[in-house]
Amino acid sequence: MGMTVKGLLVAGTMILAGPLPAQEVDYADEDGITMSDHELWPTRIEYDSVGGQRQAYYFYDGRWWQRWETDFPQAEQNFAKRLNELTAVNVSRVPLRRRLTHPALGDSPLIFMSDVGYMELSKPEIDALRTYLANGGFLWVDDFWGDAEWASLERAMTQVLPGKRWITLPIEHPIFHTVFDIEVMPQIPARDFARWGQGTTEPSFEHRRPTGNMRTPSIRAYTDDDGRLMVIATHNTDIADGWERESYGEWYFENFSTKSYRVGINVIVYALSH
Amino acid sequence: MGFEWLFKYPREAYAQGELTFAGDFGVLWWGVAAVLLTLGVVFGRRVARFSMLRRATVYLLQLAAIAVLLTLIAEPVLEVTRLAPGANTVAVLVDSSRSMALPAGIDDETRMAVAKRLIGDEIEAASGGSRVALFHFNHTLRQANTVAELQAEGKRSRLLESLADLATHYDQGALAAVIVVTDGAHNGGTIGWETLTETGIPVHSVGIGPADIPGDVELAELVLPTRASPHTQVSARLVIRHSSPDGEQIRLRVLDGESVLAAESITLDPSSPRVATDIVFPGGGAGLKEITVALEAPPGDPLPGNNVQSALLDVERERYRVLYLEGEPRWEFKFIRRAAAEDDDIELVTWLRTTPRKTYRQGTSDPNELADGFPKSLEALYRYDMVVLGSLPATSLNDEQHDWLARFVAERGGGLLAMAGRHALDNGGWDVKPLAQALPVAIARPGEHLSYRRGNYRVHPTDVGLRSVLTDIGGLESREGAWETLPMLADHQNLGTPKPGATVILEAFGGIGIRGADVVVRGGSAKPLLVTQPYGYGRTAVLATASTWRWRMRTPPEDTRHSLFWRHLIRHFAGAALPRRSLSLAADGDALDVRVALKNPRFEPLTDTAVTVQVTAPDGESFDVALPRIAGESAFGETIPAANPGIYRVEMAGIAGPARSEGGRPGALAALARVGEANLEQFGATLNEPLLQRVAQATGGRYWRPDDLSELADALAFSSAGIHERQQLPLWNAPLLFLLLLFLKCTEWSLRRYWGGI
Repeated sequence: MGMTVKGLLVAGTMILAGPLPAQEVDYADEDGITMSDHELWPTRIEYDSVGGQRQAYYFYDGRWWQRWETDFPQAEQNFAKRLNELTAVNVSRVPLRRRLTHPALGDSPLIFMSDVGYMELSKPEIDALRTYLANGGFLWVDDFWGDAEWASLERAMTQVLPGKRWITLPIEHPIFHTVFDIEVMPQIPARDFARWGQGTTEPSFEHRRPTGNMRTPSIRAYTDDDGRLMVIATHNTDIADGWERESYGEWYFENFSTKSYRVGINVIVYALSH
Repeated sequence: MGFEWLFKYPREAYAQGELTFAGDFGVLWWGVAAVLLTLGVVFGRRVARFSMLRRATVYLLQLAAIAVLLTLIAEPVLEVTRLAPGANTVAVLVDSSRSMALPAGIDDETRMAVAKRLIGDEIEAASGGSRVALFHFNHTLRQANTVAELQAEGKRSRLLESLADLATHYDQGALAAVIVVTDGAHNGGTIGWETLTETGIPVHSVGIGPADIPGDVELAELVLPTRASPHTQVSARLVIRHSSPDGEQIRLRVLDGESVLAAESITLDPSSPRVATDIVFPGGGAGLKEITVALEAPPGDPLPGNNVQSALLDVERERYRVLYLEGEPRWEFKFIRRAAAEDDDIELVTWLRTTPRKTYRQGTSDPNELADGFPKSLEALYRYDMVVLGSLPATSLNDEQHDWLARFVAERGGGLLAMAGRHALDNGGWDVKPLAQALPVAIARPGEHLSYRRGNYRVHPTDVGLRSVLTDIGGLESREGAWETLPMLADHQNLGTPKPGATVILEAFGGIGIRGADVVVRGGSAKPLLVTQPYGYGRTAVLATASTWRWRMRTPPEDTRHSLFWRHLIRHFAGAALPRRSLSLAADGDALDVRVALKNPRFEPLTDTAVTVQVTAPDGESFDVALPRIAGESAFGETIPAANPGIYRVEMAGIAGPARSEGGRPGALAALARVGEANLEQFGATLNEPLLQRVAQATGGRYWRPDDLSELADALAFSSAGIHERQQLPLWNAPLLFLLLLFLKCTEWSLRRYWGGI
């Protein structure tokens, strides 16, 4: 509703102001954000989660968070900055947030979901995601650990693309080599769980149980009929936290953020070229 | 007539003859001159009271009159060469094709009847002392004994070939001139005009027939590609000739046998007797097809037989190699790759700059392809059929590579598409590079403000674009509807003014928008979006957007419009690229014209070789024919007799000689042609005056209308060819000289009377 009202308000303002020269008004979304001259807008998907506190939402860093907004928007802002610095991709530093049912979802051919361990999609969202993927959209799911959280994603995706099978991408897959040659899939823990001399696996009590083995990070994927990746899930790792927390300490930056950026850049370039 | 009365002899005599004097300038002449001058001076003293100007006028008039008198005394003559009586032959060549049985537009007579009457009444008489040899032509040239035996029954009119044949092979006497009586409806092959002019025999053409056949609608031309890929759209170019005064609408159908492949209605513009249009139809699956285009004959069409034409279409698989250079990762790149991947015939090789120092190659056939970014050599570049330039600064390529790209289009005949982008066109500094000349828009100098802008833009094909295969993006609705309902584009680059000769296929409208709810403030003028033009042997295009991917992402998955747009675009531009080896075949009456052109990997013509083709006749019999090199051309060709009607297949069988290694293997280079049976004589059945005038002009003859042959006898008498005799024609009694003398004296007398000096 708000979206429609804002759109009408902007249109009304234009009409009251009279006809405007075509090139004096920048391209803007319904939130009034100027979108001029950017090719890629980081787009975070807003979804519903089941359960109560510490399940559908949690308290951290002085505020309540819904699962979908984990690391948002700082992760996208930092990643966009690094993409602009390191690559030829022209990225907006203002991330968008979208429901899967948003009418302009197609304007973001790459969408990002995080912390999907308690996610539950509605029928319209499932249908919209199916259409989005069939059109060539690319979905990246990040920051979910262990068996139960994987099962949550798998349940949802089975409804979206029934009959599809997940494959685990070998390190030889092009996505590991589009820009950087990545030899090992990195495990990135949230900054709070990264301790020098300890492992990189997050503690199991922070995740939905049963967690099972959380030590092995991987990229699992759905491919289309031509073998192109359409959905990737960076499982048992928190790539976006490496972006979000890049300025939280030199040790974390050197050991985790740099690896997060390597993976992120490779994924972005893959999505833009396949 | 007036000329001959004044000058005493016809124009032809003066055109050919030389003016001279038969008398001598002896004592008598000088004496007369002295007397006349003396009388003039004495007489002139009587006008001494006139002013200087008036005196000078009178003296000049007197001197002129004296000059005329002296000229007459000197016995002026015209020295000419005339045909020697009884020593020459005038060949009369009559068109005996079926079109001569059509009305001549004179007293309900047929054209043949008018021809017979002219020969009997005027032409034989005009030949003077020369013998008349009667011939007729249709698909061949034959001699006739009498006028009565001439019948309009031939299926073809090989006018030019028959004239050349007669002028070069007549051996029954000195041929002084040829008089061809025809409607000019030539439907034979072509010959070099030098063949006619080199014989030196003047051809006088007598044109019979109306310039217009009321009520006739004719499918005058059907141009169809000889080959197409399976399951693609094929574009046929039609030219319709009509004399419709009311702007009526006619139905047009494209058929494969009984199946209707496409149909549309066309309104005949009364102000334009020739209408050119394109019609697009599905080529269907692989195989040889006889495509028929038929106009629905309007009631009362006097020649319904010229409403239908057929052509062979060989649907077979072709591969198109496309090189796409992209300067930044962007969605358009991804979705172009996806559209191309849906077409098995398109092999897309991409080079993408991912970071300032890294690139990413896809679709390469070996590890070395594009290893240095751009093809290493001209030969390597020429292996592609099309090049797409994305958001790539001009400085990404060196001067030599820019030159190669321009030559790729102009010489290799490749297609080139330049797309919009932050670093493209004027933003990329492409205005100063050689390629700028090849592009269909004038690239502006980079300005302070980027010409590439984000915004919401609607797309509409132009009127020309609606008839182009490039805008046939499918859908059940009309073509306009298919474009009207496409999602808006998200960007546009200002292209400026298209060059003369360029064609605007698509235009963009708008520029302001609200993302999401599609609230758009429409306005602004139409901006060129897709502009094309031919350049050299190739084609170039500029696409002023990089957001057609929205047509994929904002439509249902089953919507194929984005894919079809790009597939048509690539096929159109890559498909027009010249092949290294080509074999063309055309049926010409009962013969086949075969032509083979070979090029090396740099697309330079190969001439130091020998080419053999295998011909398979309709009955299955095969034979080999060696093709000699065509004089003055870098191609090989031969005219092969094809007596049996039906479909002939000609295949390149062998290449020999020093250039064999560069010419490639003979391979399956073949072509098909249908011989015979076409109803040609109902096409172009109006009087073709321009052709007949050109024939006459090229050979030194004249073009004649049948109602005015009165000067033909004089034209023949002074013909430049044949056996001549020299004559001096006296001019002293030419009326012009006496009239001139009278005029000079009357003028002098009148002036002096007016000035009071008489």
